[in-house]
Amino acid sequence: MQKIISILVRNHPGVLSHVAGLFTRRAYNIESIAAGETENPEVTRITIVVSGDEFILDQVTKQLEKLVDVIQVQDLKYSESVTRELVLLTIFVSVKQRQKVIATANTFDAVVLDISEKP
Amino acid sequence: MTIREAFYIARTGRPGPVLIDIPKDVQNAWISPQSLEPVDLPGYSTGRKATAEQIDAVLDALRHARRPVIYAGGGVTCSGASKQVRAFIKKTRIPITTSLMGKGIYPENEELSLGMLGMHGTKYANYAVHESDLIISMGVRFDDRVVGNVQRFAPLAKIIHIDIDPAEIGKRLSVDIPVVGDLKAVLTKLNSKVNIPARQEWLDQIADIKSKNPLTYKDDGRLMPQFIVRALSRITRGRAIITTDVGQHQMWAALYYQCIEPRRFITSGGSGTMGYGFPAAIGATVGCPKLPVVAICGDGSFQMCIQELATARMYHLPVKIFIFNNGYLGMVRQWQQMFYNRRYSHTTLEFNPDFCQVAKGYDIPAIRVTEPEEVEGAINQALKTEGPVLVDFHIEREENVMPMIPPGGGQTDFISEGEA
Repeated sequence: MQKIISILVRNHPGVLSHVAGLFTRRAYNIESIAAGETENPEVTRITIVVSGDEFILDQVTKQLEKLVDVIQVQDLKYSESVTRELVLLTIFVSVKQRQKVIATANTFDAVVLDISEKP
Repeated sequence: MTIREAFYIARTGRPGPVLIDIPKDVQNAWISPQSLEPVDLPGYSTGRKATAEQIDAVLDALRHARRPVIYAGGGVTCSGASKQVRAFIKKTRIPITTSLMGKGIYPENEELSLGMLGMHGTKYANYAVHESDLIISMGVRFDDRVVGNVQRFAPLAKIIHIDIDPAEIGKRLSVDIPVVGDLKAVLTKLNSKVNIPARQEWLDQIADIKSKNPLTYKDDGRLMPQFIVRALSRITRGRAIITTDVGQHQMWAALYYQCIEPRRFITSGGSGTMGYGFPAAIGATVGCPKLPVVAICGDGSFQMCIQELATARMYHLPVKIFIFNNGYLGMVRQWQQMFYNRRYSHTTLEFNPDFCQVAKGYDIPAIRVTEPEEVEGAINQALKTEGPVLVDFHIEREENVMPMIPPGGGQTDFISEGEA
């Protein structure tokens, strides 16, 4: 079972380490993690996808709320949120294959961000 | 500001340690004391108040229960709620068992006291919880030393869990009625509303279990540690401050010293830190100079902070050190005997110093006890003598802590003496 948790934390060094430390200590598995400053420079938002059974996921939220640097913990329910995943793919192509790759990318609405010679 | 924040966090909500790291350049810097702004920690809340629904749920459960038991622990002491617990018990006549950290919340020489629960708890406390239909738990965390096998803990009971830390509730086992709040406040509310009759049939059943399963040890002329703790309990009338180290002596102290007041049994609990007992006693006597303070230590544990004899002597502190000397790391030896076929590995303290000589080297009076007849006199003399005193009790070497429930066991899976 997976859960997406969105945390607001105080923006200073060491906070991410506290959060990661908590996850390590309790062996909660982080599937993915993204962090960034919010419109308030003193506050950072960290979004974590964590996996485990319902009991574990309940504890994750409660333990996070205990950390002093954590201001708010939100459980982003799949039915109540808009989610996007971003994948950056690097593909090595020969000149011959290039057109085919671009055509495939267009079919799936993928955007070609960069083309260069050397990997 | 950081220091004020640190103290604020340490002392409020669920109290606990806070680490302040001060680098050298900060230590050497000049500061001007800041004006006293209020502490602002958006990520920290000092605990919620119990809702009316939660209180009503508890009252309702109490009305329906026929075999209730209270399980109280360190959280009650943190909240200073011992008075409220005693008032609650006076009103409801519900028997109480405590964790190691809860000793003294309710006088342990009273009829409704079931003593300590768990792996080394009393048989009657464990039986009571096993047969109970409602466990009212207060300020406890259902540690594995108490619960054993989570699936088999209190199989017939509904569980009420009152705690200031919401993360504790449901952490180890599912709770039927959670109550998040400060114990003093919650109990005061409950005490103003609770009105249930005593469950006399249950109380009779408890009295019967108690009389059929008393704490026992072989009383055959050897110097037994249980005998020493019992004598100490009697002579100090359960009111001394007792600190312990970690191990068998700690469990004997917990089982046989009958605490009458809270905050008098000082032990490292779940931390299990050997070397704790003697320095803790030094701190205790500085904080409470008028109360007798006895540090109960094992010969292994005591040697971890043995140098503090200098501190005790330097400040002439009236700490009485009772060493339960069996020449082993006793608790580990007991496990090696019971679960590893007596393969004693690195638990025999083949060489121990003569502790009395060591004490005399620190200019501290010392008494050696090798026979049960000498115990009472030694205890009295130690308590009467001013300043620090060390008593070296040469106890029966391979005595085991009983009762014992093996790890992962249910509450009635006691190891019988014969298997030891």
